[in-house]
Amino acid sequence: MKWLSELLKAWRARNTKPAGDLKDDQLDISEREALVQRYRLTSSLEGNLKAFKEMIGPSADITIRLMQLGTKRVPAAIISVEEFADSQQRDELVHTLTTNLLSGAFQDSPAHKLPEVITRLVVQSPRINYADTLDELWKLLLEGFTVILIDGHEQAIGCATERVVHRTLQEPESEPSIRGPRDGFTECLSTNISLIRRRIRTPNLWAEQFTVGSLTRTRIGVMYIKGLAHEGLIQEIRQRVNRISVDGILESGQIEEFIEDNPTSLFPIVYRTERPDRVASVLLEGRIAIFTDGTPFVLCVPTEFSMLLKAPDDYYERVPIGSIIGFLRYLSFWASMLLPGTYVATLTFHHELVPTELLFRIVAAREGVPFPIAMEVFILEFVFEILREAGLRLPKAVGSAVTIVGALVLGDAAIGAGLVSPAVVIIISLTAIASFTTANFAFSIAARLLRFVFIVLGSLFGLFGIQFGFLLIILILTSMRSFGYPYFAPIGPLVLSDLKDVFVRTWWWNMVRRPSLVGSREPIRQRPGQMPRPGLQANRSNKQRASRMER
Amino acid sequence: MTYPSVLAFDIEDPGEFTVIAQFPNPTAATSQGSVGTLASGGTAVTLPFWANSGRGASPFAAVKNIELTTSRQLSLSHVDVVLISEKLARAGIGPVLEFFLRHPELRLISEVAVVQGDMRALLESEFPLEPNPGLGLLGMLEYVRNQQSQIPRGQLLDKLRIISFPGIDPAFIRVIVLQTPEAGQQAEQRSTDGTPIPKPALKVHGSAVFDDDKMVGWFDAAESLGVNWVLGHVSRAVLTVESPQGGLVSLELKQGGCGIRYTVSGNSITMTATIEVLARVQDVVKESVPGGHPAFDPEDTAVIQSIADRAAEAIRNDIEHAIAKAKQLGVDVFGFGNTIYRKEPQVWNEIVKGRWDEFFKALDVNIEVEVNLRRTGLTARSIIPR
Amino acid sequence: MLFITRSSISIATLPALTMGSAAQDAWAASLVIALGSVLIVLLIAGLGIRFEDKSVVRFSQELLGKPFGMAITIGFLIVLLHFVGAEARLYAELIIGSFVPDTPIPFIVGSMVILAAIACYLGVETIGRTSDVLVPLFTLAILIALPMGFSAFDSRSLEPVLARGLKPVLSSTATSLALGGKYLSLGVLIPQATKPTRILLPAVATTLLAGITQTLIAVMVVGVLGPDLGNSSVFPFLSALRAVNIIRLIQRVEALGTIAWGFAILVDTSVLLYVLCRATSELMDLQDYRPLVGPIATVWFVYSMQSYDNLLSLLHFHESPAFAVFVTVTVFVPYALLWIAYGIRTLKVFEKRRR
Repeated sequence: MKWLSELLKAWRARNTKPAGDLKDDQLDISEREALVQRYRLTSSLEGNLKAFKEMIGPSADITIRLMQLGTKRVPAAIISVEEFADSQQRDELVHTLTTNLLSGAFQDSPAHKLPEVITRLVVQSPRINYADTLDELWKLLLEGFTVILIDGHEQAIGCATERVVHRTLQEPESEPSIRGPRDGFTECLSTNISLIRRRIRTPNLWAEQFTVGSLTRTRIGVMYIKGLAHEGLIQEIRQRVNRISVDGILESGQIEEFIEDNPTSLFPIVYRTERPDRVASVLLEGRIAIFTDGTPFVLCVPTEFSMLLKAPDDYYERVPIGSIIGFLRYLSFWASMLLPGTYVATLTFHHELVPTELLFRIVAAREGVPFPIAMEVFILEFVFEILREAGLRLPKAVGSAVTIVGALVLGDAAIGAGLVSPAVVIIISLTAIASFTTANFAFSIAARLLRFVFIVLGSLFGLFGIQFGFLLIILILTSMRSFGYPYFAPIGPLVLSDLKDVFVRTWWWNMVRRPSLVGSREPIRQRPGQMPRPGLQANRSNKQRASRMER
Repeated sequence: MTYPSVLAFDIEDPGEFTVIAQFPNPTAATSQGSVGTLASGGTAVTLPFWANSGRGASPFAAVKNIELTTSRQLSLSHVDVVLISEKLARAGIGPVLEFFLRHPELRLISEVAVVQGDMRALLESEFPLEPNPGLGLLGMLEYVRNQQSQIPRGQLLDKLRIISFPGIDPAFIRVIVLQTPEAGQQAEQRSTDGTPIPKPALKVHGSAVFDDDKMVGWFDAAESLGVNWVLGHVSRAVLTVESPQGGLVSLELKQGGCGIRYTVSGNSITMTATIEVLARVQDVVKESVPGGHPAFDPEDTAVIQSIADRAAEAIRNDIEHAIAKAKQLGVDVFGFGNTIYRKEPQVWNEIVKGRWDEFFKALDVNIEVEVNLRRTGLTARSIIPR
Repeated sequence: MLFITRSSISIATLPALTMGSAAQDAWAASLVIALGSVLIVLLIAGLGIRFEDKSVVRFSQELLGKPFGMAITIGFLIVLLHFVGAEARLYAELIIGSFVPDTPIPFIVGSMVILAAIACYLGVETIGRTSDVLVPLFTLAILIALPMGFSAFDSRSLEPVLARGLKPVLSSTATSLALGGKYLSLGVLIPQATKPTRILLPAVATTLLAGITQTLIAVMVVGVLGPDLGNSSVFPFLSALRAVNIIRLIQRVEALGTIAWGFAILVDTSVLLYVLCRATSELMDLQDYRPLVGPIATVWFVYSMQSYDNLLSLLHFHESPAFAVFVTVTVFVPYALLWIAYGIRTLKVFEKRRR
C-alpha cells in the first residue's frame, strides 16, 4: 500500500515547483537536476554566484575570478573550468577586459551598455554564447567557454576559449592494416569529426549533434551525406537517438544497445570501427555514422553482414590478392564456428568419412585418452577461452608470457600426460587462429561462442546436428534487419549486382554502382568504362579542374 | 572401435559361413616399425595386426559373431579388400553380394578376389613396409593390375554391374597362397632376431571366372591377359619373343585400341575382335651366334616387322587359348554376348532368346592383332659384344 | 519474386534425389517429366497470375462459389500435408538408415519440423532470403557431385537405348509427375511476389533447368550402378555417389549429396508449411497466419510419424497408381475446373463487352 501513497504524492506534486534549494543535502540527484534546470539567472551578481557555488559545491577545478569592469567599477565575475578552458586564452580575455574597459575608448560605457560593448567591441573570441539559466551556464563552461557574469544583467556571456585535449593520432590497435592510413579516431568528438571532414570535403557532409544522458550529457555526432543517405533513415536515427533517456552514456556500445533492431542477437547488428577511412567509405555508400564523445569507436548504420568480414587492407591491395584473402576470411569465419563441431561429429558418428590412414593416425593418438571426443574438445575450447580472456586483461609485460606458458605448457603437458590427443589441440588452435582473421572483435567472438553450440549438436546428432545448427543460424541471420535493411544482403536477398564486393574484391574501376539497397538515391557513383587501357580518354571534368587550379 | 581392413569369407560344409576379419593396429602403424616380440612371458605385446573369425548362417550373422571375440565395436566402413575362398566361390557368392548391397557401412568400391589356397595363412602373413596388411594387399592388387595386367579389374561394383548385364560373365582376381614355412619356424625367427622377416606368401596371378555368381574355373595369367586384351583393360604387359636375328627380345606392350565387330547371317553370328598393341623394346637377350649380324638392329624394317608379327602371333595365341577355355567352361567373359545385346537387341531377343551360354560355345570368333613396334627404349642398336 | 523461382528449383530437383527409380531409361523418363512439370507449372501459375493479388484460396471461391472453393482448398491442404509429411519422413529414414542408426526417428523428424516452423514464423521474406542462400549452395553441391559420379561411369549400362520402347518410360513418369503437385504452392505464393505477372517465365525456366539436372543425374546413376542395382536401390543418387573413388582421399561423397538434400528439404518444407498455414488462415478468414504455425507443425509431425510403418510402405505408396490418382483428384482436376470456370467467366465478360 505504500506504493499507492507514493503514487498519490507524486501525482499531486506533478505541477508544483520543486521545493528546497541546492543547499539541502537531502535532495536526490533528479531533484537537484530539476532545480538547476529551472534556476534562472537574476540580475544580482551575488545571487547568481551564490546559486552557482551551491550547485558546484567544493569542486576546486572551477575558478571564479571577481573583477570590476570599467571606470564605473561594475562588479563582474569570470568563471571557467580548469582543463576545459585554455588558460592562455582566458588570461588574454581578462587582460582585454581590464585594459579596454579601464582605459581606452570604452571606459566610460554606462553599466547597462556593458554587455553590448563587451560582446561586440571588446572581446576577440571566435564565438559568443549566452546563458539564461544555471544549466545553460554550466553547459557553456563545459564546452570550454569562459563565462562572464555582470552585475545588473540577467544574461551570462560566454566566450569560446576551448582547449582541445586529445591524445595523438595513432593507428587503432584493434584494426591494424599493412597498407593504408595510420590515423585512428581519438576520444574527442571534434577531432573525430574533423578527421572525416578532412576526407570528405563536400559541404553536403552534415554533422548533427545531440546530447544524450542526463548526467553525463555526452555529445553524440551523427554524420551523413545529405542527398545520398535516405531521408527516412536519417529521420529514424534522429528518433532513436532522441528517445534515449538515460543518466549516462560512456561508450558507443551503450548507444548501440539503445538503437539496434535485434537486442537479443548474438551477432553485432551495428558496425563499430576505429578507422576513419572505413567510416568515410561507408558514408560514401550512403550510410550514417554515429560518433560518441569520449570513445574512439564509431557506429555505422545500417549494417550488412558482409561489412563485418572486411579488413581495410582488402581495398588497398590488388584485386586477386584482396579477393583470395577476402575469401579466405569467409572460410575462416565459418571454420571457426563449424570446425570443432564437425570434428566431433565425424569422429563420433561418421568414421566412414575420414580417409583410412588419417583415421588410423587419429585413433592411434587417441588410445588411452580418458575422455570421449566431445568432452575433450569442449574442455580444451573452454580452457582456450580462459587463456584468451586472461591474455587480454593482463598488463602487456606479463600477458605474452602467460599466454605462451598457457598454450605451450598446458597443451604439451596435457598431450604428454595422455589427457588429450594431439589432433584435438591442432583443431583447437586452427579454430582460434581462424577466428582471429576477422577484424571485428564482436563478430569473431560471436562465432567462437557459437562453436560450443555446434560441439554439443555434433556430439548428439552427428553431421545432421551440425546441419541443423547451420540452417538455424542461416535462418536467424536472414531474418535480421538493420534499420529496415536486410542484414544478410546481398547474399540473403540475392542482389546479384552487389555480389561483386562480397566474397571477392573487384577493381575500383568496376565499382560503378553503389550497394543497391542503401545507395539507391544515387546508384551510379562513378563513370563506367574506366578500365585502364591505351587510348583511354581523359575525364573532362578532371582536366578542367586541373587547368582551373593552374590558373 | 576397431576397423577391419580385410574381410575373408568362407563356407563350412553344413552351410555355415565363416568370416575372418583382419584388424590392423593403428598404434603400431604410427610407432615407427616397432613390432613387439611375441614373448610368452606376458609382457605388453604390440601386434601390427591380428585376425578374428566368426561363424553364422549368413555372412552378416558371421560378421556379427566376430564381435563375440573382440572387445570393441566393429566398423566396417574401412574394409578395403574382400577375399572369397574357392569353396565359397564354387558354392555361390550370392549371399555375400547381398550383404554388401544392403549394409550401409560397406563400400562397393572394395576390391574383391578369390583365394586359392589357405586363406587363414594369407591373413596371417605380413608385408614389408606395410604395417597394415590390408593396405598392402590392396596395393599389391592395384600394382599388379597396372603393371602386368594379368588380373581383371577388382572393384565389387564393377562385378555387380557385369553380373547384371546380360551376355557377359565376371572374372574375379585370383590370389594364390604360396607355401609358407612352418608356423613354429617363423616364430623362432622372430624371437631370435627381434624383427621378423616377412615372407611374400601370396601371388596375384590370373583370374577366377564365374557364371553369374558361381565360380566355374580358373584362368591362368596368360589367359587372363588375353581376356584383358579383348576388353581393352590392359595398361601394360610384358612379352618375350624370338628375334629373327637370334636371341630373345623383350617387349613392353600397351593397349592401343580394341574393337568387336560382328556379322549376323541368318541364325549365326560371327564376331571379330580387333586389337591394336603398341610395343617397346626393353631388353635384348642374345645367345651366342658366331659371326654375323648384331643381335638387334632396328634399322632393318624387316626385322622390326618380324618381331612385331611374332608378338602378334603370341598375343593371338593367348587370346585364342582364353576363348577356348571360356567356351569349354561356358562363360563369356569377353562380353561378346553383351555387345549383341546392346547393339542388336532384336537379334538378341529373336535368335539368342536368352540362351547365350549355349550360343557362345558354338560361336565363331576371329582375332586380329596388330602390333606396332614403335620405340626401342633409349638406345637403338644393341651394343652387346658379339 | 525471385525466391519463388529458387524454391521451385529445389522443389523440382528433390524428387530426382529421392524417389526416382533409376531404371535403364530413366533419363528419358526425366525428359518427359521435365516437360510435364512445365505443363503443370503453366497450369497452376498461369491461372495464378491472372488473379494478381488473390491466392488460389480466394479466387477459387470467386470462380466456383464458396462451398466448392472451400472444398478445393481443403483438398489442397490435404495434398500439401501429405507432401511435407512424406518428405520429412523420407529424409529422416535416410539419415537414420545410413548415418546415425541409434537415433530415434522422432528426433530427426522433429528437428526438421522445428526448423521449418521457425522459418515459417519468421515470415515469408525470411524464407525467401534463406532460399537465396541455400539454393545456390545446393546447386553447387550437386554440380560438384555430378562430375565425381561420372568418374565411375560405365556407358554399357545405358545401352541398348530405349530398347524396350516408350511404354515403360511413360509409366514410370507417373510418380514424378504426381510429385509435381507440389507446384500448387505457387498458387498461394503468387500474391506474395513483388511482380506477380512476370513470374511465369522464370518459373518455367527454372523448372526446365531442374529437369535437365534431373536427367543428368539419372544418366549418371544408371551408368554407375547398372540398371538392376539402380532400380532396386532405395536412394539411387546417394548409392551412386558412394561409388566415387578418386584417389583414396575422395570417397564417401554421398555426404555432400545428403547435405545438399538437407538444404533443399529446409527450403521445401518451410515453403510448404508456409503455404499450408497461409491457405488455412485465408480459408478461415484470419488476419495473420502465425498462430497457426504451431498447430499445423504438430499435425505435420504426427502425420509423418504415424502414416507410414516403414520406409518401404512409403515408397510403395508413391509408386502405386493410387498416389497418382490421389494427386490428380486433389490438384489437377480442381485446376482444370478452375480453368474452365475462368474461361466461362472471360467469355461472359467478352460477350457483355461485345454487346
